[in-house]
Formats: sequence, C-alpha cells, structure tokens
Amino acid sequence: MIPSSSSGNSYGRPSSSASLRPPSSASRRPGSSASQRPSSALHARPPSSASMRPSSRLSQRAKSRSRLTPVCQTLVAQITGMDNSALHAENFNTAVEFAVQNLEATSLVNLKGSVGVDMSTMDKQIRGHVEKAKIQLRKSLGQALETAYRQLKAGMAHTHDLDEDIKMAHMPDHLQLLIKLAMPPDEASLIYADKYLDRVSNPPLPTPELTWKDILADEPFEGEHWNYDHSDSGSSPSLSPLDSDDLQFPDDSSSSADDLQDAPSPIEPETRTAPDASSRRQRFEHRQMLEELQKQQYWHKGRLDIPVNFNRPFDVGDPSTFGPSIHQALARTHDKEAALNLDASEREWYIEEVHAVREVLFALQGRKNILLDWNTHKYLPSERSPKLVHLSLSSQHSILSSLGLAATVVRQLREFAAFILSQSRSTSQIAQTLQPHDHKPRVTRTLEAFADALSREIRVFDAWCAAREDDICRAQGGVSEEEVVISLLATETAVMDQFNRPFVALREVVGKITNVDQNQETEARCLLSVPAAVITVRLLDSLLDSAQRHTEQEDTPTAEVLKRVFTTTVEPVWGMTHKWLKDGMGLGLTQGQGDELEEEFFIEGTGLTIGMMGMGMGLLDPEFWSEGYVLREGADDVLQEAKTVPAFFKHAASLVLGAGKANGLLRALGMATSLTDQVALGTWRSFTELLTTPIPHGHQTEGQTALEKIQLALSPDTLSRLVYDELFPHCKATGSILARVLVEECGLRTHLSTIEGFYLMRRGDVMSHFQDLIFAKMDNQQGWADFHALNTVFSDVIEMNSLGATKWMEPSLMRLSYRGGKEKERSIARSIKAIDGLTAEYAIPFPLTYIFPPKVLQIYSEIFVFLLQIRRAKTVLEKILVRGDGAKHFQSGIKVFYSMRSRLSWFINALLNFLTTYVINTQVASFHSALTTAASLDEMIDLHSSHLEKLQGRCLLQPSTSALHRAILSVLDIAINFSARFAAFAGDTSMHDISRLSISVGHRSKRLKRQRGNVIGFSQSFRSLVSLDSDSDEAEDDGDSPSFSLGATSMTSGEDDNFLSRVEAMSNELNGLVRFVRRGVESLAGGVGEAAPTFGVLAFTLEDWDS
Amino acid sequence: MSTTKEARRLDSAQQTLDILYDISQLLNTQLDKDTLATCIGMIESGVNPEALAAVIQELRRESSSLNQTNNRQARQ
Repeated sequence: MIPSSSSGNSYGRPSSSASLRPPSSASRRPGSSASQRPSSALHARPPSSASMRPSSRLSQRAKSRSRLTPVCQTLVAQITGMDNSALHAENFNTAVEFAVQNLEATSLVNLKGSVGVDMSTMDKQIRGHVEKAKIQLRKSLGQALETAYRQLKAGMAHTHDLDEDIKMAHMPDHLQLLIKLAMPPDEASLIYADKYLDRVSNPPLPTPELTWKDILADEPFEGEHWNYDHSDSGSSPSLSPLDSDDLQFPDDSSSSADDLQDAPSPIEPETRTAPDASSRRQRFEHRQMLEELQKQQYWHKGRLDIPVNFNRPFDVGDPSTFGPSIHQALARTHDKEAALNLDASEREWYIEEVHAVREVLFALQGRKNILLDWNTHKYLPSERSPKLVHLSLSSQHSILSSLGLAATVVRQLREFAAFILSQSRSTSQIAQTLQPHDHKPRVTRTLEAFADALSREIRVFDAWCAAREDDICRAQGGVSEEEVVISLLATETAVMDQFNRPFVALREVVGKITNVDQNQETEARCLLSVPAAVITVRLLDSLLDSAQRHTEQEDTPTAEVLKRVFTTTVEPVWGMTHKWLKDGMGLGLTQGQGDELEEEFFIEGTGLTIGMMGMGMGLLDPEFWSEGYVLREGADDVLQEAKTVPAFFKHAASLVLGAGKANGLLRALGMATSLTDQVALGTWRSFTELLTTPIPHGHQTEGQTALEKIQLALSPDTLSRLVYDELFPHCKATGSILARVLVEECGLRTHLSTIEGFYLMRRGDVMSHFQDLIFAKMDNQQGWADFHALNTVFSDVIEMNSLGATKWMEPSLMRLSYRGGKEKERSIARSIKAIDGLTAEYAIPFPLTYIFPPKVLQIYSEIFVFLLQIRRAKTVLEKILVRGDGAKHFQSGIKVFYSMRSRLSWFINALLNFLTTYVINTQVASFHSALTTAASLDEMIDLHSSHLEKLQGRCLLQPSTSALHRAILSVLDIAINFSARFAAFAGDTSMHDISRLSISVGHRSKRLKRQRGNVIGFSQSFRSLVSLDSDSDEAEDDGDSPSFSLGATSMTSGEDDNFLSRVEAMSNELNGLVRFVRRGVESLAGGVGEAAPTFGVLAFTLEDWDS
Repeated sequence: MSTTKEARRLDSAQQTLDILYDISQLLNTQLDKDTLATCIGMIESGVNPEALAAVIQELRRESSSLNQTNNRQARQ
C-alpha cells in the first residue's frame, strides 16, 4: 500500500490523488510493503525506489502521534476493512500515517480560517447534480436529491445553536466532501432514491407518547361527546360556510369527520391500531372549531336561534316580545284549539335581524337563502323562513315581498344577460367554425354589448351587496369604526332607492325589445327570431327613450345607469359605422368576400348586381351607386313597421351611407386611399367619448345644471345632432374628395358639355348641320332613320365641324338608332310623331354612369326628340315661300294661306325660343353654377336629377303635362300637314329641295293626289275635314311666279274652295290647340311651383296669339 | 434541563446526519453511515474536506488493489 501525501504546493485543494503523492513517499515506504503490492500504482513506480527506502523511517513517523490519529485509524478501518491486528498492522499503520499526514497539513490551514466553500457554491453543485439526473431521465433521483437538499437547508434554517454537534457553518464542507466522493449513480442509488421519495411522501409516524394515550385511550370515544352526527356535517347544505371555498376550513370539516371515523388508510394501516396523541389532539381542536362554527349556523334551526318565550306577554318596552305575542294572538284568534295544542316553538324559529339582512343580501345576489324562494320565475317569501322577534308576520312578509320583487328583477336581468352571452359563445364557436356563411339567427353584437352592460350594472349591485355584508362582518368583529345600523327596512330602502328603479327600467327595456311578457327564457329565445337590425334599433330606441323619460322625471340615478347601458350598447353600431366609413362599400363583384356588412347595421348591401352564376357588373353597374348599398329596410311580413335605423342616427344615416359609398368608390378608382383614411378617421372617437364631450357652444348656457346637461345629452334630438356633427366633417371630406376626383380626373364637365351640346342642341352649328342632313333625307323620302346612315351622318358632321381643331365630341361614343319600324319612319311626311322612335345613347364612362345612368340619358333623348320635332316643323314651314304676284285672282286664298303659315311659324318660333332661351339656357346655367358647389357625388346626382326634372317639366314632357305635349305635337303635325297639303296643292315635290330657295307650284301628280288622300289627321276633327276633300281636284301651276305661286289658273273654283276650307279648318284647329296650350301654360304659370315664373314667360308670349 | 437540551442536540445532529446520509447515498459516495459520521466528525474538527475526500479515494484504491493481489496469490 502506498499512501500518498499532499505536496507542499497543494494545501488548499489537492486536485487529484496523483498530485497528493509526494515523490518522497517512496522513501517512507517500508520495503516489505513494496513487495506485497502488485497494484497499478506500483507499476508506475521504479522498483528500485523500494529498495532504496530506509526502513527506519517508519518507526520514527509512527511514533509521532497526532490528534487526528485515532480518527484516522477509525477511518482507515472503516474504509479499508483493515485493523491493527498483526496481519494488517503494517499496511494499516502505513495507511493511517498517510491519512494523518495528509489531513493534518490541510486541517491546520483549515483551522486557521482559510476560505472554504460557501453554501451558494454547494447550491450550484447540488443543482447541477439534480439537473444532470433529470437530463439522464433519472427523475426520481433528481427529485430525491432535491428534496433531501431542501430538507437539509430547512434544518439549517432552524438550527442556530453554536453548540450543535454538526455546526451549520461546516455544512458546505460536509457537502463538499460528499460531492467530491460522488460517483455516477448506479442501481442501488436509484433504488435508494425511490425509497427515499416514498419515505418522504409517507413519513413514518412519530414515536407515540404515553401521556395522551393514557388520557384519551378509552372513555371519550364512547361518550356522548364523541357521538358526532356525521350526516349533519356531511350533508350540510351549500349554505354552510364550511363548504365554501372562500373560507379556510373545508379540510377541517372533512378531516375531522374522517378522523372520527378512523377511516383506514391504505398507506398506513397501523394508524387504526395506534392513533397518536398529537393527531388526536389536532382532531379534537378541529372538532371543537367545527362545533363552534356550527353553533353560529343561524340557518339551521336550533343552532343559533333566539330563545323565545311564547308565554311572555307583550311588553312595549321590549320589542322582542312583539313577534311571538302577536303570533300567539293571531293563532288564538284563528284556531284557538290548534294554537293551544301546538307548541309554537316547534314550528317557529327566530333569528337575529342581522342574519336576516345577510340572507336578503344573498337573495339579491341571486344565491340560495332561507328567506326568499325562487319559485315560478319570481322570488317569494319562504314559508319555512325564520321569523324576526320584533316584526309581525305581515310586516316581515311585506318587507320581504318588496325585497323579493327587487331580487326578482335583478335575477331576471341576470338570467337574460347570461342567456345572451351563452348563446353568443355557442353561436360564435360552433356556427362560425362549421358554417361560416350560414346566416342563422344569432345574437347580435349590440345584444351582446347590452348583456355586457347589464352584467356590469349587476356586478356593481353585487359589489354593493358584498360591501354591506362586509360592513356587517366588520361590525360584528368590532373592526368597524363607524356605528353600523343593520335592519331589513333600511336594506330595503337602500335597494329601492339606489338600484331597483334602474333595474326595473332595464327590465322594461328587455320586455319592450322582445314584445313578450313571459318568462325570461322565452323572451330571450324570441329575440333570436327577430331580424337583427330590428332588434338593434328597438333596443337602442327603447334605451334612449327610457333614459330620456327618467331624465325628465329627474330620476337621475336611473337615468345615469340607463345612459351608461345605452352608451355601451351603442358602441358596436358606432364601431360598424366607423368600419363602414373606413373601408367603404364593397365592389359587389363577388359574393361574400369579406365586404358583407353585419346584419344589425343600418346599411346593407342589396346584392342587386349579383346576377346569375354569382357574377354581375358590380361596381360598373350604373345602378350600383344608388342600389348596391342602401339603408336597410327592416319591414318584413311579421313586423310591418319595424325600423332599422336608430332614431338618433336618422339624420346622419344617409350621410354615412354616402360617405361609405364614396370611400369605396375612391378605393375602386385607386385614388386617395390614405388621404381619405386620414380625413375620415384621424379624429375618430368612441361613442362614450363623444357623449362625454362638453355640450357645444350655443347650446350651453351659464346657468346650466348637470341635470340639464344629461337631459340634453340623452334626448334623441341632441344625440342626433351630436352624431351628425361628429360624422359630418368625415363624410363631407370624403365626398369632397370624390367630387374633386370626378371633376378633375373623370372629366365630368367635358362629358356634361357633350351631353348638353347634343341632347339639348346647345352646339347649334353642328346640330343644325346634322339636322339639315336628316331633314333633307326626310324631305326626299329617303331612309332617314337607318341606323348606319344616322350614325355615319353624325360622324361626318362631327368630322366636318372639327377640321383643324379638336373634336367637340367623340362620335363613336354616341349611338343614334330608330325604333319605330319602316312604316313609322315613312310617316314622317305626314306626322311629326315619326321622330318619336329616334333615340340617342351616349356611352358615358365609369364612374360618371352614376350621374348619367341610362334612364337619365333616356330623358335627355326625349328632350332631344322634342326639340328635333319642333325644329323639323319649323324647317318645313320655312321652306314654304309664298310669293303670289301672279295669283291676283287668288288673293283671298293666299291671304288665308299666308295667315296660316304665319300663325304656325309664330307659335313654333315662340315655343322654340321659349324652350331654348328660357328653359334650356337658364336651367343649364343655373345647374352649372350649382355643380361647382356640389360637395359629394350624391349631391351631384341630386342636382343633376333635379336639373333634368326641371328641364323635362319645363319642356312639358312629364306625365302631368302630357295633354299639353300632345297639343303641341298636334300643332307641329298641323305644320307638317299644312306643308304636305300645300305641296299636294302646289304639285311640286321639288319644293322640299333645300338647295332651291324657291318653290314653284306645278302639276300635281297622281302620287301626290294619293298622298294627299292618305293624310292622316292630327286630330279627330281635322281628320274629318281631310276626308271631306278627298275628292279634291288637282291644282296647276300658273308658271308666272319665278319662285312660288299658286297654280290659280289651273285651279278650279271648287278646288280652291276645298283647299281654303281645309286651311280654314286647320286654322281653326290650330287656334283651338294654341288656346288650349295657352290656357294650360297660364294655369302652370299661376301655380305655386318653382316652374311658374318660367311658364309665365310662355304664357305672356302666347297672350299675343289672339292679338 | 440540560439533559433535555443535550437530547435535543443529539436529536438534531442525528437528523442532520440522516439527511447527509441520504444525500450521500443519492450521490453514490459509497460511504456507510459510520464512515460518514467519522468523516463529519473529522470535518467538524477542522479537516479539509477535499483532502479528506482525496485520502478516502486513495485508501479505497489501495484497498482495492491490495485485495486483488491477495486474491491472485490465493488462486496461485
């Protein structure tokens, strides 16, 4: 054996055993030991060293005894198993010497107070071992080590005695030793860990002591004292505070009962036979505590009852005699015998009023109690409830009934809110995941907000109840600084004053929105079948109405509560408004792409343009602007008068609608998205913030009280104004941006001027040229209404008139077509109505189609046709030049003829002048000026619609003036007919040639005669006239007149008479028609309408007809 | 009185020793309870724990080699 000794330079920390071995140790070793040891250590050593070692050294060192020698001997013996016997003496001594030598040197240092390891280092080391064990999946080992170390530290914490055998100051050293000696865990250490953990979790019983065993061994278990009624505590109702989680005694109750039963423990069966004294003492204390607590269970009859002597007479000075004595008196009155036979104390029990108040507070919070029973959806005083000594039965019943009503209302609201929230959860979780696009009736967000607001108010009430109970407890515990008076009546008054009216008001609101006055569940279920928007509006309006009513009644607390609830309930709709303004309308191109609006929102997407196969023009549809998104119409089969816009949103709703649409359109156009966001949403506030803002100047006066402020804030009108004022800037800004974009980017004015230039014939040069070409075709009986001919002529005209300059308009955008058929087309020679079939369509680009949809262009087209008809008649009349120098014998006829022509021309010119000057020019000018101030697309559309309506009305094209319109057409027909008659009379078809400035009357051909015969009258009377002269003879040209003259020479007197009489009849007819028109116009001018002054001009003009 | 105090002290020491023994076993130090008590006593008397650990390991090693030699000789 070769003991090593520490080298001189490694006192503090011998890092390894090798380093401990000094080179000199060989010399100390006895020679014999070397031969005995064939170990590895020996191999490393030169064999010669053994022989060199002097044997005398051993004896010298062995004799030097150290104080550590005995201990080291023990240690060596314990570790090596050797002893000091003759067999191992040498090795033993060598080992002891080695140990002493090593340890003595280091111990001296240690004793001098060298710095050793501290506990924190050990903490780390142990923790490292624990971690290592856990990493190696030796969980139990790690856990056991952790536990043992924790125990050690806990023991250290409780031991501060300096005289301890194991000083805590040395604990790190002990641990260090163990850690130094630690080896990787083997099977034995793992088994030890398991056992250790088991031992820790099931600690062995402390050694029994005799003292308590002697005292409690026998008797108490058999006495009455130990006959604990387990069922009593075990089946204690939930009212028992021992069952309550918020108290700290639940385990006491159960453990006490278990202990008393001495239930066998699966782990420690010996507990049955040897219950120790300390646990028994603990049980006793627990049981005592339980009994003490049970004595305070006033809700159990017979535990904390007030002892009442029913035989005591009523004493005015002692209120506690009142209840029992009046009870006795009543009993005697009603059933004397029964009262005498029954011991009242068996049926009745009396509790303190403070306990009764606690019970009432329980009931108000919707919990079980002994005073009020929840029965058939309301709280009623319980028949089995205890009595109060100072109250008669009826007075107690009265107070409890009143409190029961309050509790009923609160509970109903509680259940309503709970139902809504539970439905909300279930629908949102299940329906949304399974069928995201399924529109089943579900709880709206507004209802959720309402339920949330209700819950908040109920929580306030619950907190109030809890605070009162807290006061009671504090007062009972003597910690209350103030004197607290607890009474049922005071509680009832407080509840009624502070909470009952708001809750009743809220309950009424719930009743109103459901329209059902039954139990809560039915009501709440009914809600789900009503359209979401209707429910929302009904709820908000009812809340607001109720709040206003209570404000007017100066019931401020109620109004405040309702206001709070209302504000919370409005928030979802307000949020939807915000979202709508922010995101704008959807494009309507696809269905259900996230731009769907909530069902409860007052704006809805109609899905108008979703055509077959789910595809439609969407945004590009001209009707999309007006029809794609509209204010929701809530009337359905069941609820005919259901509103879907809240009252206070009434004024702002259309504004919001327009702004959202404008924003959507701007987004679709890819313009100013960030700008609109900034403008519309930069200063967005919640509804609560909106309501808390001070009342704007002008509405707030100096002496205004808080109540008036509330009143102002809560009336629908004020709210409506607040909402409007809040939203108007956002909406206006968005609208203005869109209006600017329409004008600047989309060329609104250019297209408007094109439309006006064509349809209203304001581009006189181009349109005159165009109409001349068309009229020439009409005169020549050519196919004037051919689609290609019309459009080619128009295109050519545009081209010709824009030579060297920019085109006035793009002719390809205009499409002229005729929808009257060939027969009607040919009738142009007889009737102006042939032009009716002409329509002009202008392909206006998106998004101006919203302002100029097809129906608007149709009206424009009607005006265009009317103007064209007038111009046609005018042109036809102007072609007839009467120069009658050679027809002297025909003076009277010419006179009539001339007169007729003049009258017709006068009327037609007057009409055309009126229409172009006083109607079109004036209206267009006013429209243009109004358009510059238009701040939104809706305003533009409204202005234009109004403008067009005025134009239509003033052109007598509206249904109300259809009679006048027909009369004018008849006049125009007279002109046409007059011309045709004259042509037939003159017999020169070339008179319609516009290249010729004069007309000569020649022989009438047979065709003209037939034509004349086929003339269809413009009115019944005129037709009869025409039929009369069907046998009229031909007229002849006299040939004298260079340009035009009636063929008087060839005309017989009979023919003249017929012609003249027809002209005369025409004249009469014209006279009648013009007078009819005049009267109509005069009546229009005398009306109160906006158009009256305009018609006044025409009426004034027509006054000259007879003069 | 002093007896009680002495007893409590002994009890406390025993408890500490028990716990240290547990830790010792869990760390697989191969120390029996007596040896551990001896070691603790030595450390309490001022022995350097690291030196003690080195000595113990050395003693174990030597003891082991000695036993092997004896066994071999016995077999021969």
